[in-house]
Amino acid sequence: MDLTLSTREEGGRTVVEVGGEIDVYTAPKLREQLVDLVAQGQYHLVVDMQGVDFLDSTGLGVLVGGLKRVRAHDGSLRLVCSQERILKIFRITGLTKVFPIHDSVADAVAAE
Amino acid sequence: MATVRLTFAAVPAQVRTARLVAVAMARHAGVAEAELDDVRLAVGQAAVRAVQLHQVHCPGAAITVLLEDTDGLVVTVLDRVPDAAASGMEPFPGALSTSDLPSAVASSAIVAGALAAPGVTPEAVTVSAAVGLAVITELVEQVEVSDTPEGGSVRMRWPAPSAPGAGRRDPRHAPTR
Repeated sequence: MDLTLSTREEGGRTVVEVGGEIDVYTAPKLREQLVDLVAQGQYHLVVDMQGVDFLDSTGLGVLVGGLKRVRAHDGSLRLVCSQERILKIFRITGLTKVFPIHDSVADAVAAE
Repeated sequence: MATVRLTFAAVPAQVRTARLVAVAMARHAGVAEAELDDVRLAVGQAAVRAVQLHQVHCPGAAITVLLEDTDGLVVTVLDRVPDAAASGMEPFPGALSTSDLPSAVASSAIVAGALAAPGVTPEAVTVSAAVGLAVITELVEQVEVSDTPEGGSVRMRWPAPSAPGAGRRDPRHAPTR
């Protein structure tokens, strides 16, 4: 399964909808997308991971990289994920403390 | 008992192959359905670690994964980078030679450090490798990481629900954390 990416505007945020597997092979595509958005001046990102089937440490590294990039512009990076199998990875790596994680895109867009 | 040996080129695209084979083999070995996601992730992380080591030090050499169906599943991911920890080649120095494999606390501290440090690219191998080993040690109760002149190995065991050792630590395979 490959990685699918699409972006849209919603409530002043840029929502990046991700589907498929984020791993060592596909993570560079996600990184490229996040880097492009920041380069275009999109600093408030919501990464919707509801369609993500698998996430590994390289994917986490890319999300951390994205967070660092938007923070350099006083931006934000929120995640949308309610799948236990994906949330578990954030929990066991302690990254639930690093990322705001929401149950829905609507919640993430309404935050702050 | 059956043994499957998977050999693949040290390229990111093949890590998924290792995950798929591991999950298929885990099912065959009777590993509980609820643990299959753990098998998929932990074997994937061990394979990523091996691929990253090979890409730096011996891109032409193949990686081997041994999968043994023996009272559960034993997966051993073998790389060909000798003494990775001792020579400073290991992306997360110290992780192999000591008992303090990175924990969730350590990996989040590393991530926090990467976020705070100017100029550091957090996607760098260091963050990924530290988090990767943390994931393995958190997910797998019975894991051994070893480092020899021939190369390194990460050995992980998931007991079958009915097998001796299920649900408790097997003293023969004491975890290294």
